[in-house]
Amino acid sequence: MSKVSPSMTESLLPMPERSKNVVMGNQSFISVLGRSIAGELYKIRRRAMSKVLSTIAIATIILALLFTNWTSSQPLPDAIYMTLSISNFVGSILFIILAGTIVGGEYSVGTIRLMLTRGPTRLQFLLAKLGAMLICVCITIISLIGIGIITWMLLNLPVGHKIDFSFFTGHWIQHTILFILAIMLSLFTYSMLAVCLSSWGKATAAGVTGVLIWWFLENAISGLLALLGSRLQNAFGNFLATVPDYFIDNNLNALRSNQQNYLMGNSAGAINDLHAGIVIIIYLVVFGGLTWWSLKTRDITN
Amino acid sequence: MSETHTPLYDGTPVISTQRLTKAFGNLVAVNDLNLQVMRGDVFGFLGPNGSGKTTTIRMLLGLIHPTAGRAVLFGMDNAYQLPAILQRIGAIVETPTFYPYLSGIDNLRVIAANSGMKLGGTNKARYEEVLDIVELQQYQRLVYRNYSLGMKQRLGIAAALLADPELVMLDEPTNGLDPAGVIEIRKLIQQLAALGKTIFLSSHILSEVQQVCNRVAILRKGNLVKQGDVKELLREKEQVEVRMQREGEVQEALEVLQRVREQEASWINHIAVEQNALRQSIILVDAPSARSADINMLLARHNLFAAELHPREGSLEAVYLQATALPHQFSEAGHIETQKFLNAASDNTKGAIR
Ligand SMILES: Nc1ncnc2c1ncn2[C@@H]1O[C@H](COP(=O)(O)OP(=O)(O)OP(=O)(O)O)[C@@H](O)[C@H]1O
Ligand SMILES: [Mg+2]
Repeated sequence: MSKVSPSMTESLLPMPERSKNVVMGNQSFISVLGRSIAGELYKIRRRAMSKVLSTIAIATIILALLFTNWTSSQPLPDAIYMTLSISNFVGSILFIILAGTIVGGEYSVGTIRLMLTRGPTRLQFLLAKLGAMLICVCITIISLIGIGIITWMLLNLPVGHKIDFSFFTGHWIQHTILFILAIMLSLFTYSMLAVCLSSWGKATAAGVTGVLIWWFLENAISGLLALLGSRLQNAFGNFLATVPDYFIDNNLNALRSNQQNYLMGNSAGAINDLHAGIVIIIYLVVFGGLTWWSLKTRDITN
Repeated sequence: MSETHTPLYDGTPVISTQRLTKAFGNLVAVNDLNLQVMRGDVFGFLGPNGSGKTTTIRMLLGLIHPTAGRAVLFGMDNAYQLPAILQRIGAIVETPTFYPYLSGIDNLRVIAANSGMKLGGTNKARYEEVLDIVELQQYQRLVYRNYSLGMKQRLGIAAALLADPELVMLDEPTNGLDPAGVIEIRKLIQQLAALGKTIFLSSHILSEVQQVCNRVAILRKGNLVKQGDVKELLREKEQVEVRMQREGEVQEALEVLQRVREQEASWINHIAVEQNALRQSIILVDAPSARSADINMLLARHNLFAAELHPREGSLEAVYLQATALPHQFSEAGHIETQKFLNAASDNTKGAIR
């Protein structure tokens, strides 16, 4: 943190006392970062957009449960898994928008200047955004599960359905928690990509459209490579067919579907957990590193 | 002028740049800048539009990276110890920007969270204090989006003062303020200076700068063309106004003064002619006011008698215009060249100018 300039010839000026109304906090890297994250969360909470996005997510869950319940009543564990799948799908889109906005907005409004002249470093600025996104993802998923369960109970308990707790085994709890973590990781990975792209592009749209394009390209290329691989029928063809195993979406999918497989007593799918975990971590490190580097070297003018 | 002198001025540099340079492609926005701002200075940073003031401020704050050179603040190099430096600065860079969806006080809350200040209600008294200083307390709950230009500027100053920094950097802080607001900011700057704060003020309002600043630097196309004590710079720009008894004597007096200037009186820098409100010709001699008697004596020696002799105070405007003028603009910067007057006088028997 406090490297001393090699050519420092000046003597450090002592800092005078501040007014007694100014209460300073701890100045360690982590404390500064913690307060920056708190500031980010405060801003997110106060945005009209967050309220709109949460309303959309909650409404989607409730409506989906209402619909399925209308045709035939489903048991609670099914309702929980349905809630999670919908959260994953809707959450991906909503978090991409939110992540793009909290970074791109700083550039379009010009507040990045303000944020970077108060003390926290550019690294802390970026980590605060990512930390805030991670916390939002966790809070959202947990709240949506709660909302799903409450909705199910409101729909089923009054009409005499009982909760059958036989599903509630250690095995179920373990894989459900891992499934939830896999969803959180998925949402965070896409948020991270949105944060990075909107930081590179200095605009919300760069993050949002960038992730959507990425998503689309991955799927299109996966299909194309699979097709090519099966046509070529040789070593190169086999190689091409394995390339999509290194794509973000396929690995995040694998992490989620593997837990569902284990829950059913099946084994992992084509991509195992270790492979998927490592690939995702590499993506996160590369995205984060490139973004930090571009932010660090950038001139903030506008 | 007298109240501008700060009691805590102690000659320790707070900002010191060494050959600081920034190029945007081919355009050198700031060139080889060596600035010295001392503790307790109210430092005026002047220059025409696009001369590199904001670029310099951005470099000092670490927003942009210099192409060459370095900036040392509080004895720390800002390439290495930026966070520690920024903790001691409150700044406005260009138009202040805040989160449009947050109220004034909520914006301060977010800024405090990013300024090393404790979270929660601990600093509420401070938010109210700074809002009170800039007279925004009644608008503290209004969302920033609905602020007027002057209110935005005031919130910018409140944010700069929030953590009670020892160095306050203000980039055109009176931009968009009403006249009362301009005066309030002047008073505020004087109060801050009296508390021992160092103020770095970039401004286009020279009269304000002349009133509050003790030192100035003037930039022209990225180059530092003047840096110094305001009083000294003004002294260099003192003039003596001479009105002759008869209009017909003006030309003669001019010739005498010109000749003397060339031959002996090196204390005369420049001579020009101006017309006053009564359409009387006034000879302006660029010389220290203490030389009035000498001028009078010189003229008297040639049987020329001045009706009036007035010392005219130097203005920062004159210093600024001279420092920032291009060579060909120089002569037109304030008054009519002597030679032109002499030519005009010979064309016109009355000796009046056109
Ligand atoms: N990001 C940038 N890219 C290219 N040129 C730039 C950039 N920022 C500033 N400049 C140029 O640098 C020069 C100095 O600009 P700067 O904003 O520092 O001027 P200034 O003295 O603050 O002017 P003003 O009084 O109008 O605020 C200008 O010619 C400007 O066009
Ligand atoms: Mg400027």
